[in-house]
Amino acid sequence: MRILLRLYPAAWRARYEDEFLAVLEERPLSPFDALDIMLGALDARLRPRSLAIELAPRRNPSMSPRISGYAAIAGGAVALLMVAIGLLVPEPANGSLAVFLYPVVAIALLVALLGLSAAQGRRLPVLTWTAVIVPAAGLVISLLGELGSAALGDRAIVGELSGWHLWSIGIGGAIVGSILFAAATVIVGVLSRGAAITLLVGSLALGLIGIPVGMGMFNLTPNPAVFALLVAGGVAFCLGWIWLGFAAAFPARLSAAGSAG
Amino acid sequence: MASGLNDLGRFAEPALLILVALADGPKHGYAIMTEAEAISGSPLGPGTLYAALGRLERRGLIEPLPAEERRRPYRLTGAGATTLEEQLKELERFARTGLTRLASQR
Repeated sequence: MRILLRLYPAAWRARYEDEFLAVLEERPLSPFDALDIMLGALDARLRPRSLAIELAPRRNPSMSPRISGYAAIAGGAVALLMVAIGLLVPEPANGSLAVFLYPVVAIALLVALLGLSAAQGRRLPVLTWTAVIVPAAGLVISLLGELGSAALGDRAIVGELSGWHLWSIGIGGAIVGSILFAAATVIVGVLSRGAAITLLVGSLALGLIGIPVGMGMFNLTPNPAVFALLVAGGVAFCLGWIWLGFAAAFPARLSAAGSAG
Repeated sequence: MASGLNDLGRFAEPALLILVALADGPKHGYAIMTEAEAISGSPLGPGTLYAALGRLERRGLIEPLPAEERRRPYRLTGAGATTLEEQLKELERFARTGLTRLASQR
């Protein structure tokens, strides 16, 4: 519960945190509430001036880089596990495992995206937050799609779109958004550029190969080289997030290691 | 301009529900949330509740009272009561027009 509150800006938490926690303790937290809180946090970060909070110049980070770093490590590690399962576990068991693991990845990366962007957004806020909207929206839509698919199967949820369609659109948005986020991270230069470049390469590979394959534009089976590129892209994507997470959560340790080497 | 809630976008409806929930006296966050859910018949998430509360407070339509332990009650301000009354009268006119037109076709 408190982790979700860390998504909000410090000024918002200073004003509302106690009473907000009192509200949350009144009833069990549902997935709807958790999603609503994440959207509320995004709103508070994007439009703080519409709220009754004091926007004094901040000396401390609005969200602990350590928490978003841990989230990036967790999201990247579980995503890496999903890649391994996809390669090593036969169907349909790998699909069932993916259904359980994907929400963990999506929520962890959402926390990481918001937190890491808060850390680097003080330098180039417009660029940073523009590059967050697409992947954050993609992750939320993909989560909604998975929930919808679990609850309603192949039935339409929005217009003629089923949960699976929403999930696919969300995944596409998350991958394209990761390209934007990684590029913005390289440009801003507050977080590790090496990690951001790794994430950028992985996201580009997934975007340029994974999305066309997902749309049925070509089949991977007769293209082992393309398949290997896609797997390498997936691994780079995961390692990029893990590296970014380590750089945010343990900056001193990484710089000490860098200067020692 | 404090009057009108339409420019609150997707928070206009939750804001109106909050004003209605506070119409008969101060309430804290959870009481506002449950009352708004009872009035509308649909769930109101805590993130949306506080996004709407923040906007209403910013506009001076509601004000916070001293916290009771951790729970903080809110109450309507004079401007909030006026805005609520205007909104409800507008809805009343809208409903009356719709019902009149419907009745004329029967």
